[in-house]
Amino acid sequence: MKNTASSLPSISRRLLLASVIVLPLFLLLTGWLLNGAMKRSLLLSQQAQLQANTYQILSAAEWDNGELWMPEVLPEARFQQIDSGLYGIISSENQLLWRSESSSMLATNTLLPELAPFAINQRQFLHRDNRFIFSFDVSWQLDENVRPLRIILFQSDHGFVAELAVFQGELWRWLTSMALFLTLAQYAVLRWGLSPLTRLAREVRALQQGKIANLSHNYPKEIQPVATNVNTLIANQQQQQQRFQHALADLAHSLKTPLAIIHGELSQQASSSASSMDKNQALEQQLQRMDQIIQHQLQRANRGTHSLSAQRIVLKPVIERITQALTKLYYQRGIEVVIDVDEQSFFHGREDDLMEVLGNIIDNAFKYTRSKVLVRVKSSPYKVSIEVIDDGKGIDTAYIEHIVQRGVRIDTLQPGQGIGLAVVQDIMLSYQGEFAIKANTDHGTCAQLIFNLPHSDEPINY
Amino acid sequence: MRILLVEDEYLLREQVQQQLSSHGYAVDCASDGEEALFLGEENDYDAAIIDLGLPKLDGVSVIERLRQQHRQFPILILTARVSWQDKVKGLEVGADDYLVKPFHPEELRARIHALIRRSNGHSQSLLTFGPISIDTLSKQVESKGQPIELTQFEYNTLEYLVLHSQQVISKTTLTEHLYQQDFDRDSNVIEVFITRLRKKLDPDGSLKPIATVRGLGYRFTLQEGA
Repeated sequence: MKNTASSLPSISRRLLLASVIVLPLFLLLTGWLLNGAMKRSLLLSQQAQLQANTYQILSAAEWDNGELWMPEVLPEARFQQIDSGLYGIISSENQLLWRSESSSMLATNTLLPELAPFAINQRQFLHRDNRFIFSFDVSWQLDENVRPLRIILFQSDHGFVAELAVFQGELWRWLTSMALFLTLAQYAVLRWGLSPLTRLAREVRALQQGKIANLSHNYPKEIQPVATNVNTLIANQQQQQQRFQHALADLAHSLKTPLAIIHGELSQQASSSASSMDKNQALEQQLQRMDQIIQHQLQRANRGTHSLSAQRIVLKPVIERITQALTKLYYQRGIEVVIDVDEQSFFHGREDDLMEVLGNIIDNAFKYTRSKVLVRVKSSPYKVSIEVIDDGKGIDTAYIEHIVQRGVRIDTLQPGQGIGLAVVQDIMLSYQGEFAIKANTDHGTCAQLIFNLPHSDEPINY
Repeated sequence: MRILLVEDEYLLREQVQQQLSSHGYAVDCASDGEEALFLGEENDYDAAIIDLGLPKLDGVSVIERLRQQHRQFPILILTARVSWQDKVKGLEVGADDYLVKPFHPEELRARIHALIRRSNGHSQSLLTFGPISIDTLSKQVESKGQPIELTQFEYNTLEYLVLHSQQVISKTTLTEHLYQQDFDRDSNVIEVFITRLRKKLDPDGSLKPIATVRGLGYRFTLQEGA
């Protein structure tokens, strides 16, 4: 089943995606506003300068016999420099009365732009044709006449454009740098801010793999309730499991002890009378059947699979415990035990399940072996294989399938309940593992168990 | 042989006690862990049968504490718990064998018998001392191929002596191992058993299988396998 979570962007990706869209828009808007403000500021400055130049011209103007006289040298030196970029004219009723020396190379028709009609004290400021145009309308009192005058100044916009371009270049360079810096800073802040979530995810995975028993308690206050609740959930589940197991143990005790008493009574009756022996045989068989059903179903009910109580269990100590216990039980036979297990090999699950599986398999090997039992473990990154080999007479291949059915024993002379391998089969199925018995009548029997191990190499990063 | 039986279920305890007694065992009973611990510390048993699910003190703790007190008699766990975790735990703390309920009484007796025999260094149930052979499983005794009829207590006395052959066994020890706790014991009856055994095993006096060590007790003198 495809993991749908991987198709949804993570929290950090969402935040980054949002900032990658919002931040440029914000910076664009900021740049546009700053650019506009700078432009307006420059224009105002330009206008103010031209206005000041206009007042200079007006203050320098004189009338001589009704004719306008302007000094050759004006305070603003650029009026004297040809093609300086700053030009001035004085006109009256569309007739050119004076033009600055700087405009001497310009065509006259270019010095009378189309402007709004004359109005006293009217100021006009325009930007067109790569130049600024500032005009000031005044009326000059000459004796009894009033002469309308229009002072027009022209300023090339090259300086303005160049200054604005420099500003824009600096502006966008700095804004771009800020955008990159902010993006990186945001990413770093996100990583740091979300690191408790990353740590939580890693701890939950370690919990699932049985590397830790509880989540830690040093999370930020927004996340600590999650960790606390998970720990509470684990504790409740373990307590529930313990109560369940105790209840099962009590049930087993309650059922099996009366069975043992009935069994004992039947045995006594059989020993006292031959006729009782025949009658009791059917009862004995049913008692045995009841006992096997109780045993099998209680063990099945107690089986756990991949729950939060699964642990990482090193195999070698468990195998050694079981083989030492069985060596004690089968002391008289002097069975040689060889254990070929790597110190690092481990099993992921519940310890009681592992002991049940190994106990039954190794016990069978001890029962049927001639002189030696070998326990061998092979590990790969995702699987662990356990083989238990004996050198007994082996099992007929025709009966191998029959063995795992509850209640069928091949060798009725051996003590045992007959359900051990069926229990192994149940447990292996619950762990989605594999269980096989390879038999050869000449060379003994090999029982193989293969368990899956959890995948732990996927990185967790947000 | 004297057995300590620890089982909290009354009917089962009575049943097992009766079965063992009928086969010549002297059986002391306890119904909880604390009583079992007390009896085990106070008396020298030949074997113990202990249930794991006991009130007051569980069976595993009883076994553990008995071993800590250096009580070395063999212990068989008799219990409803079938998990391998319980089995291994019981054997690790000091039990020597494990039997799951319900069980065949014959199997219980056979296992107890084997435990007692092995704890005294005898790997086989058939013991041979020159012309005398003793089948400890069927409790049959033969001398020079001829079966010898012994009473239960005569056999029990002989069995204890042969299982501890070459050791001097005092009358007190014999008394303690032949009778259960509450039995009104008379150590003089041991002398009667010894006398009878000598007559039955060695009518012509040539073998002298049982020697009296003055002031100390009795010793079975014949070598096994000779």
